[in-house]
Amino acid sequence: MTTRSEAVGVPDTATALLEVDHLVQRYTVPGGLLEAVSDVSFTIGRGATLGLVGESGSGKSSVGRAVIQLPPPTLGSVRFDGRDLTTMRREELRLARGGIQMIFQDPISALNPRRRIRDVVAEGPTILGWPKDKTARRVNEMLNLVGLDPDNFGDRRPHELSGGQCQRVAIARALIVEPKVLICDEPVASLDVSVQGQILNLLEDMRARYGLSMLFISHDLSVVHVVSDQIGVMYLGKLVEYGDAQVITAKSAHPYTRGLLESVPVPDPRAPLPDTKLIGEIPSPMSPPSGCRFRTRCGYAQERCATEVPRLRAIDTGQLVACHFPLHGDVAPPPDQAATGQATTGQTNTAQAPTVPAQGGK
Amino acid sequence: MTAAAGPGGTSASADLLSVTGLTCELQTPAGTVRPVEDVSFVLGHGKTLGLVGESGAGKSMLARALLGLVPRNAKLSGEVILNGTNIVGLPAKEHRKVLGAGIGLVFQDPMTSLNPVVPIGRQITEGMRFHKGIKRREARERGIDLLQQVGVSDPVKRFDQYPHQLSGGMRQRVTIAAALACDPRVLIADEATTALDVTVQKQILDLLQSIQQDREMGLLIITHDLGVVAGRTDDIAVMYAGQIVEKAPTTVLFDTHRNRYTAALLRSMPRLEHEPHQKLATIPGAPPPLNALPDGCRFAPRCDFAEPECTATAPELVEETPGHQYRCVRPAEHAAPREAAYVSVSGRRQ
Repeated sequence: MTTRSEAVGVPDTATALLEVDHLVQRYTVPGGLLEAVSDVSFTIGRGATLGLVGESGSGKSSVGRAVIQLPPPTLGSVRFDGRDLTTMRREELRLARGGIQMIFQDPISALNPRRRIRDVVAEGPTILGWPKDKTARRVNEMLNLVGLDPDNFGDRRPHELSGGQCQRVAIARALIVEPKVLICDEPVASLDVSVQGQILNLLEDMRARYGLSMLFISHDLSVVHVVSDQIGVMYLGKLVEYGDAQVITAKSAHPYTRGLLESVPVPDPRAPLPDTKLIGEIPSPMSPPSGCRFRTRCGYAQERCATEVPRLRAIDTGQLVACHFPLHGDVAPPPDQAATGQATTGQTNTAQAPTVPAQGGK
Repeated sequence: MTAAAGPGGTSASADLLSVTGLTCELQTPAGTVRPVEDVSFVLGHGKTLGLVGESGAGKSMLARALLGLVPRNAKLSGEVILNGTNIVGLPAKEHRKVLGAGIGLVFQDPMTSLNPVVPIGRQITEGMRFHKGIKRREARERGIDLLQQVGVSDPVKRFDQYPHQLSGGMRQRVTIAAALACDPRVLIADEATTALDVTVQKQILDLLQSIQQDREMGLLIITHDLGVVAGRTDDIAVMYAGQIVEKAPTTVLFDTHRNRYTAALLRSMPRLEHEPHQKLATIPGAPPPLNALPDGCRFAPRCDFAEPECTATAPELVEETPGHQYRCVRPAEHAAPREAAYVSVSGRRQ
């Protein structure tokens, strides 16, 4: 397989562009209060990609939406380019949001079915009050860039396009306003394998071209793995493992991450089907289990897991793990670190950053 | 299961389901199209066949054609022999009798294949009461037993619940239970795990496999993901634009596939071995619309190896080794290292 990594911009993780700190998102639902995100912190550097993985109901999409303040998080801060989005006034937020764009899982329903492709892509510039001729020129440029001929596709409507083509339109729409951060919420989950590769490559091209930072949300670790510098694994609203992409996929230490990895279908008939210890399904976030939220499905759970909430802490392979009994690395954290585990999250990420550009340039 | 390098499922006497020259022709405003064209395969007792292809390749239409669940304006030809009976062209009443108990079908989306206003227990037992005349009380017992078999916890309580009270994975288990209700000899799983999380997908695939082995059923797994069928099938058939373009025992297909589409499909899969930010190999463009098929090989317009001869004549299915057939004018060679020459990395877009 040929790599073209040399063409890809080297991500600069040393300077944080997006800092999410102690994010909590609660929704009022019939039957009570649902905590979709419980105290999640991470940073994304300029040009870097963070992959968020987890099953449905893990809160990964809620994190993505909380970042663009749709709706604003219940607690915690989202600092974009040094400014806290959660405390901004409405008008200020409207302008700042231009710097963060989002694409969604179902590209066909994400586009207004009654508008022409050209107008869909022009929506952002129109809101920002760009002059008409500039908008028209940029729309054509963007459509070309995502591989759609503007003369052929510009006047069509979304239903005339395939899923992959619609996703290209969504990418053009998101990038025309030249955002600094692109949030991708399961952008390829509903696409065929062959089209999936086209879209992932396009996102990668765009990332390199514009120096985009990305928050890439997916349930599929094999997809997240190819696009991410860092990976955060979420379970029932909490980050359970966080670190460099290659460390997470090659040396995962959390039993949940391991279970996710073992569930990825491997296109090799000789690969043994792993006997994964991941049992059952994700419980309702309305009443998460006590202690470690993963313990009800964990093949390694012990008594301590039911009583004590595991903190995110660093282990010897460099990632952060929220588990009392990680699969490798140190087993018992020093008591002082256990107490401050969450608070040091941000620092540890920054400390890890230097290893990332080395990977990108490989 | 993986040791299928031998003559997988070719022993004629043990054929459970034998499909020969199955074609489904549809009249549409845009002309006559054939979503399924001249498809032949054999599924033996206790064997698993994977059917792989992109959206629009005709996989689901093939599944429906096997069951006769095709649109009213569709014309079926060819043979589908289930346990010695040809079910193509059978009068509706007999058709229903043979199929209802003979083939079970699990659909992609459990939310839409279950009736939202009917308790799941009644949906599971509907088939056995209709086809086997089993009385309500016994059907309940059997239904609860089936729920247990497919791994639904607390089956007595679940039996009277409605689909919306269950998670996606549980709903899919319920549809599997319903498909098994009449002890079918063949189970068709049409993208049965595509809508599920990878973790649940693995559980459901494991479940299908263990049920199939317990009951010695024939299992047809339809999917767009070669990873899903890699370790779980005896044979794999690859479909493109209505035709089977390659068919082989599973390990043979992965190791020495000859068709260029099979090769491209295999290469385009994201893998955990990839480096971060590595470009993925892709297949440019999209499958052709069925009413405007290209001349010659249907994959030629997207194929990196296409030559003028590819568009001149439509390639026939040729047999490479017993059980391994493919269509391709310029087939892939397999000198080691495998496919090292392929360097097209997403350079082309439509």
